[in-house]
Amino acid sequence: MKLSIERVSKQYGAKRALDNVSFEMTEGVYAFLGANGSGKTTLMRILASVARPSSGRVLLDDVDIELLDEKYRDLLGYLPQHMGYYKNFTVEKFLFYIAALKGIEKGRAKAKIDELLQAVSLQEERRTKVGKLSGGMKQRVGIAQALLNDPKIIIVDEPTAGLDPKERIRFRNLMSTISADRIVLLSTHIVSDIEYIAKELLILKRGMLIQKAEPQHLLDALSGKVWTVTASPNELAAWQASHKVSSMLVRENGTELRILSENKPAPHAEEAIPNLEDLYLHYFDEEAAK
Amino acid sequence: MSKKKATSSLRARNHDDELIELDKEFQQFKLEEFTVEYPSEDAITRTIDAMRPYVTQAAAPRVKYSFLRQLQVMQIQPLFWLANLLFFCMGLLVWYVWEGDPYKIMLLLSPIPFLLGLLEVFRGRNEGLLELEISCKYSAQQLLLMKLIVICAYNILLCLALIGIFGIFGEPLLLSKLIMYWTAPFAVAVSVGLAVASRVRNVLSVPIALVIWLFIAYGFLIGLEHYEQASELPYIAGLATVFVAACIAKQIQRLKKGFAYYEAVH
Repeated sequence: MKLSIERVSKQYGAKRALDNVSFEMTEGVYAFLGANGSGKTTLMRILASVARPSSGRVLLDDVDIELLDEKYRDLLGYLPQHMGYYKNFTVEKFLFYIAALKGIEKGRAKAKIDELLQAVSLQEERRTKVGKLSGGMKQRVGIAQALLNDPKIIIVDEPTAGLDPKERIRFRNLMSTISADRIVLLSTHIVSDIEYIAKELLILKRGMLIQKAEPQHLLDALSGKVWTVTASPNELAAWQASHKVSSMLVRENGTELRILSENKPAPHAEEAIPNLEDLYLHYFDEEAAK
Repeated sequence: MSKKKATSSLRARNHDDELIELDKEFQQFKLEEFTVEYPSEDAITRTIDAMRPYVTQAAAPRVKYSFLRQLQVMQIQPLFWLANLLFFCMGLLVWYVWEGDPYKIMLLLSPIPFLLGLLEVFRGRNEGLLELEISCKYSAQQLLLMKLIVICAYNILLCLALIGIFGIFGEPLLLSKLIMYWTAPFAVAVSVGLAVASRVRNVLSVPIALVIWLFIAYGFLIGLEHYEQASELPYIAGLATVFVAACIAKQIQRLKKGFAYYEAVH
């Protein structure tokens, strides 16, 4: 299975949300990394067939998804970034409703709902009204509905927003397990969510795809540019003003700063192994500072 | 025997000889004496789990879009059916107990089920579920049309039931007056309701449409009282009904187009 994005652009009035984006995906987990307004959600909407590109096209196995229409949507599991719920529906009823929209026969839907409620740890809430669930629980209902039809293409926009660390780990493992014969596309601000599961990272900036590579490949490119420096409290402001600081850790002998720099920033600085947070800061310095 | 056949027969014989040689070689290894340990349950389970993602899934049985199935998909709230039955009973009550004019009752009450039904038609959009509904196999467009059809059908059914009861237990209603007091105002109310609901994107759209309808209904009542005797009025009302129905079809077409993509309704 191959999903190809060919010279896709999207214009909203005067604003160009996507600018000539092209890439291909096969089975595996792909992660979009980008600051707010980088075009991630727009691209995901186009891939989920809920928005139309202003120019360019999306092909599944060389067939335009607009031509595939219903057949394409049948292969799709989508979790939008902001999703509403019918608040007076119970969790189970809501999932039955989405299963019906996905054209799943009732008996099969019931079995699948049981399986998914277990996978997202919501068996006990199945008869609870969606309006009474916490944000994290609603998000888990959203994840469950995306997987109802055993989709071959899973598109999840900020899926871990509102989940506690344990649930995030469960979600990661779930995505990792099911991605063997599926294309899983997710966007997140939480880089640790994708560190171990992403086959490739796609970095979007101001509507343009600026990188598409394996995480390790991108991290290797940062090698020799990440440093740790221990600073006293009165030196902190000066370090922050003069360098890109990705993290600060208070220790007994001072504060350990993690710094991105082309050159060794101080004689006592030590080289560190780059991680995805460093990578994020490297590409989205201004956005991270905000 | 041709030269070609002789060559192929020679090749086959050579291949057989090779296999016999290989067999002899294997026998020297005494493979029959090699024992393979039976794997543990855990190892079997692990292997099955590891292979599971690669097993092709049988195609899932798909749903036939029967009428009952469509009703299930639409998830129209029971309150909608009940509220409209209540209006139906109210119409009967006003006619029977207070001897209300059946034509005026039709004029005022007939569009209410449709106007209330707009809450159901646009519920996905109003509750932020439209983006997800658009991405499903049974798309938001199909949902919109199905809901409109069911709500309109229910509305017309209630109206016909009222007309039937008025006609059977009271005086038969005149078609010409029904066109003036029912079909024309009903078509106008549907058109106004659709126009308001497609512009006001929250639950307020229905109360707004109802208030607008009350003003229009008042206008109809005043106008009809003055011109009821005009012989050409039923024809004008009939033509107006056809014209507004055409406008409604156009509105639905535009809505349907809009519901195909998320950005068109946001």
